[in-house]
Amino acid sequence: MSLSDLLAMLPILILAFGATAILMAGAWYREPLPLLAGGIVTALLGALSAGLVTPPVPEIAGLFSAGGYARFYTILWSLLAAAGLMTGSRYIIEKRIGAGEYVSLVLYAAAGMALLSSATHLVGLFIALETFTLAFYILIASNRNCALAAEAGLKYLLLGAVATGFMAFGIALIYAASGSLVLPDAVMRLKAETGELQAWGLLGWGMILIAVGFKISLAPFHLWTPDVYQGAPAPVTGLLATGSKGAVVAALVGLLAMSGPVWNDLTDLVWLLAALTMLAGAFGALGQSNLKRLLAYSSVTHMGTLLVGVLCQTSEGFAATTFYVVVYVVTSLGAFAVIASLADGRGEPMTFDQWRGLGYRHPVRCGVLVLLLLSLAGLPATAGFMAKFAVFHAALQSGYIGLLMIGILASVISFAFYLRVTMLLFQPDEKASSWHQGSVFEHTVLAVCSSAVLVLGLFPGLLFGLIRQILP
Amino acid sequence: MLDSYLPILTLIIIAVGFSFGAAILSRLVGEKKPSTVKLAPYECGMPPVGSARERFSIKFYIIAMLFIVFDIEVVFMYPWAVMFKSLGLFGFIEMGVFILILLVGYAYVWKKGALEWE
Repeated sequence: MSLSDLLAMLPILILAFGATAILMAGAWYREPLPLLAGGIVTALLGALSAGLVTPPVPEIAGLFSAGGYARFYTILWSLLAAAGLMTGSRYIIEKRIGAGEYVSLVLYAAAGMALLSSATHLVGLFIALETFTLAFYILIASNRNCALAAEAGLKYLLLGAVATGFMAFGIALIYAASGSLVLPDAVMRLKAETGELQAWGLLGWGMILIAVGFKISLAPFHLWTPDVYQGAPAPVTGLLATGSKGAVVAALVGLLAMSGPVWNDLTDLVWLLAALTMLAGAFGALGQSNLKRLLAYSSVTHMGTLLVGVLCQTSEGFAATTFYVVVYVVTSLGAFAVIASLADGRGEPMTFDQWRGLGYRHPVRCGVLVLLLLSLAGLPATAGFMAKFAVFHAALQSGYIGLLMIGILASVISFAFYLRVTMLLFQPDEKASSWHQGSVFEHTVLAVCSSAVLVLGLFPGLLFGLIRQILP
Repeated sequence: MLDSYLPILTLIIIAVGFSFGAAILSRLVGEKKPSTVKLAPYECGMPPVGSARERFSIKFYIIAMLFIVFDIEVVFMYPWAVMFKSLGLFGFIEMGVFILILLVGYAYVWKKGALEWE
């Protein structure tokens, strides 16, 4: 590890050292606001350094890339951490959660996600995945007075451990078959192999696919999602739904874009996973009467759609997937931020009974929520429409007509439950009670998210141009 | 090469044979006069008090966790010590960084009061 390696790693170092410094400061000094402000500044500095400092080497210690694609996601996850700290600020002050711990864990998670999105080595991939998963285990159960949060934390821990096991076994099998852990290299050698060794390699890819399935909740592995999303505090759920899934998808896209079509033998399996995930999410959401659980199923559907983009394995598919990740992160984060901003001493508004008629009490934030839900549904003129359109267009060009039909079917079904919430918000109800007014931080996040949804919906070319340049 | 392990095998056979032999022999030929005191569970010669299934303090878990964390540290130091000469200054600095990270954690744990029993 030389000095230029360290300089290339600067954003990650800022996040990790900043997190450690804030953790230590929090042990001596318990005022939450300065710690939170320090965390937000650290996250923004991380994003700024990733954008401004040109890395002197293309690869850090052979483990992580320092290219444009990696930098792009480093900026995105750093900004996400800043937003997560902003939406969580009121929550940790009111629930008396250690500010030093919360801030540092969010920053560590951001560092882990940034590393994961830039991994070029299977060991780097594994370390990065564990870094942010460990942070999330604690964050989910951070509210120690809530039994649901403890349940959610335990569920995520157990399933995360299983996924880690699959991941490690898969990596071991790929190493056994190819003799290499460097990503493009291992894939090339596997393709050259025939017979038994190739079979071991395929089994390894299958195991990794299962681990990925757990992490981004693909259909047969998605059952933890609603319980964990419901139990975790809304600011943490916002991070969990966006960053932890987006980073895994980003790593997948980076890996496939670097090493060419790896998945030719797994195409049928991935096809099935994508179709099953889209339908399971859409049908699962129909029966929900709790907004957080509904958003959990909605995220399942979106992960299925993302997988369609990944499956295409064309540059257009990868560009569409990357665009979709950004749009999904912004929209979903905003939706959970609305829930977090309404939370008060009674907790967060969750059940549909609590949401009924809330549009008249809090018109601005409910209006933002409607906009975000319509973007998640994919209504034209919102960013969600452009993202879905791009992915389905890529699928059409790659000849996945069947999957395209299933995706459109799932979209139509999901319109039903998104519109149901929208109607619920503006039903006249005398009993609707007022919730918290929200802090400046939370309103800032909502303003940024909703304007990003509108801008990306009207001018998608801005982001698409950038993505085409940075794809590896 | 396996010949050199023969004394160890012999020792194992003698040790296992002696302990099992003594136990079986005393069971076969020994005299049995059971009484309440003899049948009670052995607790270092003290009279047994209450059930063994008690709830114990959560502090033990924190101590156990800290023990594992700082114990693993030593596991990493043994291979480093073996390879000390070939790793040279680089290895020394790397190990220093590693210890420093743990030291920061130690300071945090101390300040948070995890080491205080009362």
